[in-house]
Amino acid sequence: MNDRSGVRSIDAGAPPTRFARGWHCLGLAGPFRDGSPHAVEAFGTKLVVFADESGELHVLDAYCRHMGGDLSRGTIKGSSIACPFHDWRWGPDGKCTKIPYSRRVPPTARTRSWPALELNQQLFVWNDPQGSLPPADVTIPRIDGAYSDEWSHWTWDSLTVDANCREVVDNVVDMAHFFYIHYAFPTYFRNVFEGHIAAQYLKTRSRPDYEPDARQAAGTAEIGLVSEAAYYGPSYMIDYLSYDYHGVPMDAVLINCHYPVTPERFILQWGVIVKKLPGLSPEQADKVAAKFAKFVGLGFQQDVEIWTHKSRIDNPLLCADDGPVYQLRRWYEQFYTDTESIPADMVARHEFEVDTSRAVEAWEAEVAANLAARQADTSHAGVSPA
Amino acid sequence: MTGVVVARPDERRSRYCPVECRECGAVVLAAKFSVQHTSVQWDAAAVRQCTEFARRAAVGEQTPLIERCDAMRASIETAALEGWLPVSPP
Repeated sequence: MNDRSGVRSIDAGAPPTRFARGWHCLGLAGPFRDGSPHAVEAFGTKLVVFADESGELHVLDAYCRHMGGDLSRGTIKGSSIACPFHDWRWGPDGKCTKIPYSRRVPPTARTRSWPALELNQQLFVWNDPQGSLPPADVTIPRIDGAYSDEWSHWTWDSLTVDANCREVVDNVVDMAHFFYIHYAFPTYFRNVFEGHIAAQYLKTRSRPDYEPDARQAAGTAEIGLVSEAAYYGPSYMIDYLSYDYHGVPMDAVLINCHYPVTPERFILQWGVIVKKLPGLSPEQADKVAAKFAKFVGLGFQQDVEIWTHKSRIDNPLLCADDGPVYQLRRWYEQFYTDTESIPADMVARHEFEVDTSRAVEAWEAEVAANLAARQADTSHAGVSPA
Repeated sequence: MTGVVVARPDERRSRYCPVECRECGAVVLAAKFSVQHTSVQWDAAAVRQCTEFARRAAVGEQTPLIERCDAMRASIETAALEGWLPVSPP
């Protein structure tokens, strides 16, 4: 890793040429049911999402196997999607159902149908380079709050990021970036990886030295936040959060998910629901969720600023107080490995608890210095002659 | 003893030591960079042997979502206190 003069070199590696096996969330399901087909660029190709007569959502390859027309520019006819080029009709299972101008449909007329799942008011599509159907034990868990009147509606936002999606997954183990990038103050940080799940347990304090206007406006100047987050497969994280909202304990669920467009681009999406406080109307609860989502969005924008300028790095140089980057990446590799070839250690349980004591000490000093500097600025401004 | 546990690779030098749970006898590999830091590598056999995981899995919990087994944690802390699990920075 180090050359003859002792300089560490970066192994940038190359992004994988295949896309991760697993369920990927494409967004809230509702907007896909507006009567029109929808294009989704994902997994190096283009998909079409359409609702059949019963409202069930289906996902097919967008390019018509006849002459390559774009089905996402076509029309829904009954339970089939009709190509805008020659009106070939394709059913939910990928079979050609009708060619109005021909006496017969060629028996081999079949396109790729992608397994789809609707849960938590969100639409998921299954990607598997080996072409297998999703196993029952890797499914997406149900979020009870998404089905309860006691919770707000989902907010939903997305960003296009020009980087490989491993960058966002790395955040699972990155304790220190919460202080430097997200202006949080981690005091407890622990990871558990087992099977297809990667969990992060995090406790943070607020930063009295950093209360930007947006954060104040968002009302998320929390005094202590407890977060229990887990990736279910390669791309869908559910984060159960408890924090203090103007002295009232709040419960929120944050979805952090993405899907790859190409090996060098992904769509990052996030959604929030909050539990309604007593006496809050549904509209007020939605506003609280929107404010929280805005705060989360600011955090992701800061991540994106880093990701789109940084180098890919396959050999991060770690200190004792960093999280388990290598162990996480070993876990993540399972989704790029043929199922029959996954070694036991990729999925075996690994627990890693970061020692936050040195970080807390350093950050307390930094926060105190920032506050003192601000105080000095204010006093100076106060006595300075006009 | 359960089977041979393989620790996941890390760039940092980790002095993994087998630790046997005083409660159920499951064996894991543990490493400590400091008193607070802990890295624990389980294998499937150890997860199956753990009585706390088994008890909670029986009521529908998924083991990856269980933050820790308290008995195993206590066994690791004891091993560190007694000095046969080295506490050593990488």
